[in-house]
Amino acid sequence: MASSERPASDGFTSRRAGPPSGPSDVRSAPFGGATAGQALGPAHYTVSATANERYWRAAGVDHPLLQAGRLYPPIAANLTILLFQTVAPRPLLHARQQLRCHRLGQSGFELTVAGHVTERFTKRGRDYAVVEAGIDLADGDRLWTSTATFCEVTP
Amino acid sequence: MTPATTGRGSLPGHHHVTAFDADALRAYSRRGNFHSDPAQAAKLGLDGLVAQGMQVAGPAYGMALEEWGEELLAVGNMDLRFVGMVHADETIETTMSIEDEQADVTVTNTTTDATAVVGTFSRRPSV
Repeated sequence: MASSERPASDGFTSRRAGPPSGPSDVRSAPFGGATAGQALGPAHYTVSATANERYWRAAGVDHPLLQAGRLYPPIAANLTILLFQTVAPRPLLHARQQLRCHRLGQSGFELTVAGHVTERFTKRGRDYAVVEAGIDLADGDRLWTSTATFCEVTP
Repeated sequence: MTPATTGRGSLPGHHHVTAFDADALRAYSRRGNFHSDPAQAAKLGLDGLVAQGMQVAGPAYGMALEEWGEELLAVGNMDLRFVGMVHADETIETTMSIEDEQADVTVTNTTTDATAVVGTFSRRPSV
């Protein structure tokens, strides 16, 4: 899969896999044909101080820890979405988010995001995918573990 | 981009009312998707920009942060279900009850009277 280094429009600097590619019948399948057990990543992102503060504030959170540059842990959800979107090309709805924090993070340092699809299921006629992602600091220490459940937005 | 907030309460019943306008939604999202671009939302049949679930849960995160401080960032957990959409300029009401190591949260879209988010925050006890 192609890799590129580029500024993402969400304010993260990304060094990640390129857009999904492959046969059109696979890309048109739910979640790009992703199946349980499929590995995702690794992808690399740097959350700048500016982007970090923007997320804190846009979520309505104002706290001295923001001024100290502490990473806003719910950003883990965005990173999980970006990771899954390396294989799932269509718009996603977020149905559930679980997050476990392992230590403090600081903005401005590269994070490595990798994981896998843990489950695929159908409920009330809709396809769902569960993705677990580990977000690690540059030294390899685990920062966050994120588990997100998605369905696709259908017109 | 900072959402308008009123009515923050105090323990034991945390209470928070917030409205996310389109600028706040764009600040929390990438460009060119149904959270930030009305044309993309319309293409998917949505009634305007839709707030990300985690953005809707942001005020709840803020309440838990006020209660537990840096511990929430370092060893906190959360488990949230996004059960209803919140569109730009709709108002949400966040209520949270905190007891020891766990906080239960419900976010209601007061514009539609529908529940938007339910779940829990928790912190692992020190060892």
